Amino acid sequence: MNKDAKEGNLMYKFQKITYTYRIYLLLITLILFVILPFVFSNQYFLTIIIKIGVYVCLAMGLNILTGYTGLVSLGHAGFVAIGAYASSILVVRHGFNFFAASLVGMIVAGVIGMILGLPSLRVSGTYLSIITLGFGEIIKMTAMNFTALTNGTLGIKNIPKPGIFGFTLNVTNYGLYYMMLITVILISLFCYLLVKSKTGRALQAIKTDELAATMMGININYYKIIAFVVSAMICAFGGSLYSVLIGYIDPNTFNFDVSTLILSIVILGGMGTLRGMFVGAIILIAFPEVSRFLMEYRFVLYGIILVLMMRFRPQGILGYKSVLPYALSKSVKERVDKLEGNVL
Amino acid sequence: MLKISDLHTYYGVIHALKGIDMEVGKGEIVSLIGSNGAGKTTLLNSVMGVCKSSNGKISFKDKDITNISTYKLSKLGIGISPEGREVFPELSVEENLRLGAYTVSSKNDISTGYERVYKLFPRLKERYKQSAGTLSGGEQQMLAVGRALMSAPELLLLDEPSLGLAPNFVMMIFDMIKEINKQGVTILLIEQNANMALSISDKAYVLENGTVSLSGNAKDIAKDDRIRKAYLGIA
Repeated sequence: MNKDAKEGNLMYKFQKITYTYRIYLLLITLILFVILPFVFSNQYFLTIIIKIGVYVCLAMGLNILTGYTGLVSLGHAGFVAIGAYASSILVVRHGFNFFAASLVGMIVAGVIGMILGLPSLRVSGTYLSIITLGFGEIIKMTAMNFTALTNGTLGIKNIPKPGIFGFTLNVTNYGLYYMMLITVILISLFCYLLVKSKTGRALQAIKTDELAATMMGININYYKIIAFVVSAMICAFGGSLYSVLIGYIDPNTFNFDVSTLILSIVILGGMGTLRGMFVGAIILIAFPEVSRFLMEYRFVLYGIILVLMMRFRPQGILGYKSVLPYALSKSVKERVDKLEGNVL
Repeated sequence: MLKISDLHTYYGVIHALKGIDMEVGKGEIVSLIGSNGAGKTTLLNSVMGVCKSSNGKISFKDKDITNISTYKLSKLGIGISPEGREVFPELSVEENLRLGAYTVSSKNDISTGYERVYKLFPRLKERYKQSAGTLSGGEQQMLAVGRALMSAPELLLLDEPSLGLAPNFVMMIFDMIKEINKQGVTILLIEQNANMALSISDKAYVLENGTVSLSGNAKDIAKDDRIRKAYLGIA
């Protein structure tokens, strides 16, 4: 057996095991995360964990667009900013409840996502990335100069922590942590169902081959817009979450670095996988914190990690393709299996 | 079934199709032959709505489909196997076929589709788990045709199914085309391999510089002196 086949076999075994025991693995992970704050109740530690959670959400959002549909966006910080600004303005100035405010933020981002999605029907590849790059800058500039709405470069201060039934959720009483946990679970579940659905299959077909996808009867324009809207909405909610975690936002919170960070998480973790988003976010968010002792050299190391990854694992850390057979629906499978006797 | 009248298509200022008239009747195999640059693929692209035509009319079962959005064809009952095959290389054979049935919602119809394709192409059944990119050219062509059949089309458009295939695969593909036609599917075949195409067709159109230079019964065309010289290489 040659080396590749051996690796393939190992991969198969690994995937088979993780697939068979997926429910137990999920349960164990979930329980660990539920009891985590009682074990490590350090505030600084929890804040980082919540930040990782926020970035998992953002990466999930971008992954729908970049990982599954193949449209690379360099301006997703724009959607994060829209969500963060919309919800904090409503909460601070108009006394909205956090959840209602973030819902409004998501809707605003969804509409803007649709408007940004329209040019994507005409351009692709690098040109689309440039458009989204411009979009991110436009949002940042708007936040800087539309002082009446966004308070300009001074930003919005003292964003109150969200409350639910008179109970304030903050880091100390673990409320914010559990809110993050529930959000991450819901968003992951949503993405999982989306990817498995007919819409998800259409998105993946578009990524592989647009022409062939149209011939299968897939309306490319419609699904590209859908991908933009869903992606924008998820990122906007991530932005609202971020704003209450930090308690202060200004235009520079959402600069180009944030866009590239989200994209790096998606690429490092593995484009077009859900599991990759967790690993990518944990590595890229936790790394600058745990390597503080390296001072400014840590960014050199950070760069080296990304370069090494590109050389040795371009598909991302967990970016493997499933080697388990595709599951046809049961009634179809039965009839196809029966066929074997007649044909071969 | 498919009727094209006075169709004009431009690429910028280049007049690629200069008034094409064509008719494909129900249950027929109609082949479209011509040399490179004659406009065969442009004609197909115009039918599919990939190229927008500026003048003329295309109708399918008396329904106007001129400049239609390409994705709607599958639902109307037109299956396409494009030039260069365009299978999804990372997906397995089975997944490719499943995508072919994207517009089919009934599970029963999907199963029937699989049965039909696997009966026609037992080779695909043998390799159902393999990713399409690792198939040979001929197998990929079978897959492209099979995928187009999954939506149970009434009209099948085949663009250069013999392109780059070994001779025995070419024979096999043409046998399959005949077999599919016997099952009641109308076929519009675009081919450079005029000899093979004419041997299985009922009707044929010869395209030259964007116009139909000759049309009629395939057998008569195969006997035509000009065609024998130009396309069949027989003096």
